[in-house]
Amino acid sequence: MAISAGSVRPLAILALWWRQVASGQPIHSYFVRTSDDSVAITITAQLVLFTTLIGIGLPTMLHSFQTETNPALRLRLLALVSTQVTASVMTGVVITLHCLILYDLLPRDYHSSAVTLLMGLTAGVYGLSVLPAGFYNRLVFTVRYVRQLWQVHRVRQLELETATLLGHQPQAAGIRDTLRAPDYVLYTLVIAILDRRKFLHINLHPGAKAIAVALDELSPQATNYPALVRRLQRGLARR
Amino acid sequence: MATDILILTACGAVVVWTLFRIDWRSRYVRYSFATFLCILLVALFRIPRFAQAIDRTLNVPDVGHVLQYLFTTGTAVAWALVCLSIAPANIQKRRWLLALVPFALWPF
Repeated sequence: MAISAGSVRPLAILALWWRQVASGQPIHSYFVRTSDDSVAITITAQLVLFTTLIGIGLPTMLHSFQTETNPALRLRLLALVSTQVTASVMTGVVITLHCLILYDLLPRDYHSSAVTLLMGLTAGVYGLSVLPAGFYNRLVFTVRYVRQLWQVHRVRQLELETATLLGHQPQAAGIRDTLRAPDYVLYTLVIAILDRRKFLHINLHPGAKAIAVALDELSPQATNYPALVRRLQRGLARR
Repeated sequence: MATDILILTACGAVVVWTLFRIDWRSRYVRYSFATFLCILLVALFRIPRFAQAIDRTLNVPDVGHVLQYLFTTGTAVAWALVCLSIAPANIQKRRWLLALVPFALWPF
């Protein structure tokens, strides 16, 4: 009942507006844009929008986002959640400003650039949410590809370190191969590092020992390849 | 003003683009289309020159603003229906919020 109670005054003013319209008052003698009924109309419309966004839109999109597992769809839902949040903030600001205008706490011609900014932001993120599925699939693929390149770069550093310590030849991984199949290059680098574990144990250099001990700690995670890569990517930080 | 024109252009493009590809059998798609259409009309009536031209043409004070109000309410309803078409049961219970809309529209 919050809406109907809150909109009693705007509705009464709307009724007055309707009576004035019915009286046939000519347009040029009617100062419309900043009159009480004009402000009240905006408040009522924004109240309806605000209640819908907070009561239905935001919880629905949040629920969908939390239950979705597909990364591409999650990205789209994230854009929709952002739309709900920015639109809710925008309508909240509009309602507050218009209430202040209605009760003469702000000048009638008050203009807030924040509302314009929020409106542009809302339109922008809503626009993002309606982009075709192919866009989101490509975005997910690109993010994954860049992440793999970053992983190759970090794991490569560790692989070079172990190769230098042992005096072994570094694993061959050319730029062309890396760009074409980063997941395969990453796999060969991981295997190369794990293969050197025994030699690192034998080696007398303290750095080699530290890496060998850290690699031993990884063995329980050997079945979880992504976790193993993450640990290697961080350069066995806890060694 | 610039933002309104930007929104108008973007929504107009989406409405025209989807008009020829829309699957009218899907409730979700129908309501999404209605949402865009309403946003398009709100942005249109937010342009002062256009709203005043409507006022003068019909010789009714502030009718452009009232149309903007009606389409804002329409946006809210259409968007609520989009969300309700995919919402889980516990959020479906909030459908009663839509029953409040006629209270906001009764002067018309």
